Amino acid sequence: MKRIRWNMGKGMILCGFLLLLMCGLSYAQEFPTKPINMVITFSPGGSADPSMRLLASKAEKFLGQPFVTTNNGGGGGSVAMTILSKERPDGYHISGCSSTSLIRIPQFREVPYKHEDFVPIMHFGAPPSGLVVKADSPWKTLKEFVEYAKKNPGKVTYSSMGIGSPMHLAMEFIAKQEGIQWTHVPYPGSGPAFTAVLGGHVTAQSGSSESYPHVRAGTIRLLAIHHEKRFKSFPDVPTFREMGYDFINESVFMFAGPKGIPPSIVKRLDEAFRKGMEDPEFIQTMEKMEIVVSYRNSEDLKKYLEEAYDRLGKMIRELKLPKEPEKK
Amino acid sequence: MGFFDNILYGFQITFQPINFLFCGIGVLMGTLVGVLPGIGPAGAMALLLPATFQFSPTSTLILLAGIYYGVQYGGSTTSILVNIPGEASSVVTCIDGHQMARQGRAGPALGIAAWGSFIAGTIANLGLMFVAIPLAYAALRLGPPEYFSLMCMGLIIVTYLAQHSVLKAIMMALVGIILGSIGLDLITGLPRFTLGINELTDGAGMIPLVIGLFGISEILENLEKSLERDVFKAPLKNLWPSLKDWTQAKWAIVRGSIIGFILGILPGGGAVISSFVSYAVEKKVSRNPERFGKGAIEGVASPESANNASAGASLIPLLSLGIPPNPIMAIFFTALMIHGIQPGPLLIKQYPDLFWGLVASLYLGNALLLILNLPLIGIWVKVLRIPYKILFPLILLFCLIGVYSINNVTFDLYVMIFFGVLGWMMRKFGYEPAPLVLAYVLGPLLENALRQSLLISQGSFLIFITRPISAAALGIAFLLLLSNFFPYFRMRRREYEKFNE
Repeated sequence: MKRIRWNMGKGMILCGFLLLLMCGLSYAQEFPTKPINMVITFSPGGSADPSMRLLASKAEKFLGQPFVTTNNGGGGGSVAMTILSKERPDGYHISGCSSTSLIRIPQFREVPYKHEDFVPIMHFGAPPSGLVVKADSPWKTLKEFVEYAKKNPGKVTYSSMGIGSPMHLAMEFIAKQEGIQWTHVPYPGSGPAFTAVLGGHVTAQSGSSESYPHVRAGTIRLLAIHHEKRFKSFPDVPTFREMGYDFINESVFMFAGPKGIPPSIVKRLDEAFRKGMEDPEFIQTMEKMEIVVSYRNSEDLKKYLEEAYDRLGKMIRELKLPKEPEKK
Repeated sequence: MGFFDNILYGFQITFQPINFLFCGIGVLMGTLVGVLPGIGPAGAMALLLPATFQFSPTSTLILLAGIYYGVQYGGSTTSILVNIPGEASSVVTCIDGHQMARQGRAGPALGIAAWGSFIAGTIANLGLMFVAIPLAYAALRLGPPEYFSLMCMGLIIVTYLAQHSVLKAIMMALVGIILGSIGLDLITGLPRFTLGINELTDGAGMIPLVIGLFGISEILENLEKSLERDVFKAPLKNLWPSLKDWTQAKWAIVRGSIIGFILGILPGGGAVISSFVSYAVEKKVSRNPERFGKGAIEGVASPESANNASAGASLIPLLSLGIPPNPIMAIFFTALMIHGIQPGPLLIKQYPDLFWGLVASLYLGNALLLILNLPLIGIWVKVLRIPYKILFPLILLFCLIGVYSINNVTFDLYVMIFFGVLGWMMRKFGYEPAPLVLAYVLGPLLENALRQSLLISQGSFLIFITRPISAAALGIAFLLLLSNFFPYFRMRRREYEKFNE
């Protein structure tokens, strides 16, 4: 008797499992019916990972399903994007990435995907960037700095997070326009690049927000920024455009999925994220993390990325940046 | 406000129930993460970070710090018991720690590791309180040329790690340098030696490499032996370090702490390098270096102190300059940013509650870890009695999970298995993996520093000699290299004297 009851119990558990499985398999009318997998193409730490996780947690409320979030920062995001490009385009596999992995990396080295293999969902912001020097250096403005570099060719060195990064391109943009010769010293990441300018080992750094506490403390001077508008937190610092250099940092933090996701699902995700951006906690946290908030919907972002791709390609050719030779 | 007011204020904050609890949870989790091979502190912290949004930044930081140095405590356990490093920073502990366990002295090995960690943690904490700011600014003076010279010193230490053949150790170091050059080239931003494999863009990966070389190869080697292990047979002598152990280990702990502390402040240095360097130094200064590799207690005490001291010291650049010196500190940085605190030169002044609360929590956490770890020794030692056929599949499973959890890609598992087989073959032919790991860590740092220096100097090698710190480091490196030949000269002279007589 006991044995029979035990068997019945087992049978019921099995039935339960089968039912659960069926629930998972059935595609319901209303997206989403199950948790959405999101891979963040950054390692934990930095501003990308927490901002994407936060926005996802706000968007969950409007989707009614949670995000299952993992990190894979390999190869500047290209490892995760390669995996994503092969996923089923059902909207349940998306990535929180930067435009870097879509439009910049494929132009420098061989990766098994193109930016057309993805459908962009939306972008919510961008990491800030600009040019800093030590506060005890003689240059108060970008103009003075450029003039010094002109008079002393080869004397100025600057650090950045790597060749081909927007920070590097910004400096080479000026160099080309003004006919300056200055030396780029790449570092593995913005943090070490900033340490180099703080320690006086290079003249300047073209970098991100890591210097801002020092700018506030008065040990570092922010000469100019690479964005369209001036920052709220540093209203006196001019943009590159104001100074006569038509360069802006075009990288954005965004979400994308594999090509072929039905437009209705893309729209639903886009809307959920956009509504999530209105959450006061999100707005506050972006301010705290010095992320420049901006928004484009799926179609506008697609156009934006295509234009940025072409602009970048032109720059790479003009500046003759090293590229991986194409395989035959 | 005087110094004692500050520290009392800190303890006031730390002993708030929520902070006390977080400190306890942190060190407990850290110990577990440390014991499990592969799973590192970064993964555990990233998982916990979103859960801390509701709490105060001080509580969050206390929790994260607890995990971080709890890991340094726990990492030695697996190294000593089963010869598999729980963390990369405990690689070098395997060498003598496991030999001690084989001789039935697992208890004293674990005990001295725990005490060494405690003492080192306390020393690092004192350093954090008294000399944080001047030291952080002093460390800033080290640029690429100084780094290059320091790394040269580091590479010479490889020869000290050799237990049998110096030639084989150097060969392994060269393999390590070659492996370290896999991935993106810093100057051109293009991939090297990746064989077209996208996953290798960031290199082979430290954790898969270490777990493969040490963990998987150990499992493979044990598969060949009979199921009766010699470890079971050796009687467990005592659970605590004896007075003799203490007299042997005390200076090793102090030296390890100082080395770990200094290297911890340097960006990019960190726990791994400091554990290797302190072991090598210990072997060098020892009167009978032949004991090393055969269960010398100094070989456990020194690296375990060093990795803890360096964990404590790496908080210094973060808290006083806002510069995270390693990926773990980058997570601390983010945690602070999320709470609206900008880590930078003003942090200690603007948020005294955070700084002093954290400092006090480090004392508390270290004490908690000691209380937690000493009674655990008895339990850990019993792990050795678990039959092989149960223990090793479990360890293999943990290795797989740990390595997979870093990036969530199966490729890392292939890397681990590849290095497992390689490590097994290396054991067969008497090649040691420790020099390989050290060179793997140092190689890229050395190369980057060299190329950055030459960019800054416009190609002139004089930059390494004209800068005083760099010149001094190069000089010491040269002397170290020479000192390797001294025993040879001495031997020749003795022979000559004998001949004269």
